[in-house]
Amino acid sequence: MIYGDMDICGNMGSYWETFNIEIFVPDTYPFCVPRVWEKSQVIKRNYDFHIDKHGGCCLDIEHRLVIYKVIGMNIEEFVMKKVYPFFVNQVYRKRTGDYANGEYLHGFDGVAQYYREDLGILTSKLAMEIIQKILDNDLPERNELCICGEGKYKNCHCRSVEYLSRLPEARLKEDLVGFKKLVG
Amino acid sequence: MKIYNDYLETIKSAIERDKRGKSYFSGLSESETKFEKGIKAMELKRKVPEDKLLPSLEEFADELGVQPKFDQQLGMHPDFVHLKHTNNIEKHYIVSGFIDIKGSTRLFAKYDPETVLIITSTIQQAAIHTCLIFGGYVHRLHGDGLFVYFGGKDIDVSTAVNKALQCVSVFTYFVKNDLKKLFEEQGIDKIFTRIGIDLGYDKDVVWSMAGIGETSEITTCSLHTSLASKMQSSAESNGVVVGKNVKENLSERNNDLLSAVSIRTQDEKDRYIFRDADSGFFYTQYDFNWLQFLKRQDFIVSPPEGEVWIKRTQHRGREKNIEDLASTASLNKPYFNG
Repeated sequence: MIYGDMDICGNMGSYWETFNIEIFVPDTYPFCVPRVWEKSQVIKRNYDFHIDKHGGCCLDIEHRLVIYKVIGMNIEEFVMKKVYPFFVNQVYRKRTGDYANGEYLHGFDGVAQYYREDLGILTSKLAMEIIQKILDNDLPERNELCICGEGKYKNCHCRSVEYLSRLPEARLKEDLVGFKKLVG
Repeated sequence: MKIYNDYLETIKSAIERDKRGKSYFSGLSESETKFEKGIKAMELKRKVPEDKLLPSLEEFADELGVQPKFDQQLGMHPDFVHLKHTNNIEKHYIVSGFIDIKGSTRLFAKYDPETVLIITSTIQQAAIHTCLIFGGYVHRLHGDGLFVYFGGKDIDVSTAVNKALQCVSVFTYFVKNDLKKLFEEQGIDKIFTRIGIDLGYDKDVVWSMAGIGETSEITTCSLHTSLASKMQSSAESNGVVVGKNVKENLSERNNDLLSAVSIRTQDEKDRYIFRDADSGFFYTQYDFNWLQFLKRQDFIVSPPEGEVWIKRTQHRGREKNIEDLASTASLNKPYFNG
């Protein structure tokens, strides 16, 4: 367990806020996703602030976090890239009413949003098709037609599919179930 | 930290004028040159008045809620003035600190003595001002360095220790970062500090007048004052070495900031700064992790990038701009799986 105060400062040296936080790093480090709690109660315990009633912080979409279980992580980098920006963004929202870079919807709607906005997979149908092909190990060659049918695979969804392929199988199966529920 | 910016500016303008001077004054007679240089030195010295902090440091003092006293006299600790011109002695604890500023001799190779004077006296004044902010007392000037005391009648031992450590941590940060950067830009070899601090308890410190008549001072006779000076020479560049008594008065959460000097030097004979085998008295010296200590202070903020800033709760004439946070905040897009 790592714990302590995290000071939030602006680029010009201005001080904004201090959060008391705890980071739990599992024994499987570096192949793990640390959990972060905000103990100082500076952030209102409300799902809209992406924090649970115990102070557990939802730093990012799970897909970007769970990848650490596969590729490994460095705790300092995790703090710099995930933890610190989360708390800076909380201060930003407190002052402006909005997060600086938007936010994901709650629950599976947020996952679908991630597929659309970050992976360019615009429909649930296409998402299901891609996930199934990854699970079946039935992906096109780079110069073949993309799964979406709109161009060469290498110039189309190849990068997104490669990213998804690195996720744990359980995560992909969960997404598949989620998309099926979404389309009814 | 930016709190010494005005001091840096003074040094910078002295350096810049020196360069200009060398080419500009080369065609003038010696008397003309001396005259111009004299003006230059006086003018720049006025930028660092003796009896007030420069604005950047004054702002820091305001943040801490302190108003330094400028009425101190060397060799005359205000709590022991009554010992002057007497044969009386008094036993009272004191934290002694030796702050040595190294590397200034090399400045003579590059600059005129007047410029060197401005540089060294500005650094020394920054050190004095820092000491005053943290309630210290400047007992004596040693070349470019200082011999300072922390503590007195109205301050308890551990607070005095803490103030001494805060003072040297802030000043060392300035020398190691801001000042170093400025000198590197000028192609000057580094200037650095070496600091030794030790605490002598009531039973170990005798205050008395040393010297005769007006050639005298109120000073301490204590093993621990002597050891502070010795420990200064045990310190590495920009390092702070403290004695075991300091360790005893450090809060528990800061005990991890000390490591025996022998661990650094890999030489067991450096573990003790003083040995008396007959009485079994062995006194340990420790390297003090001043940077980590600084980061733990309430008046400091240390974002993960590793820099150290002053926590500014007051904003003289400048508004905080939330857009200063935007670039870092944009790295985050939160999600809740509820």
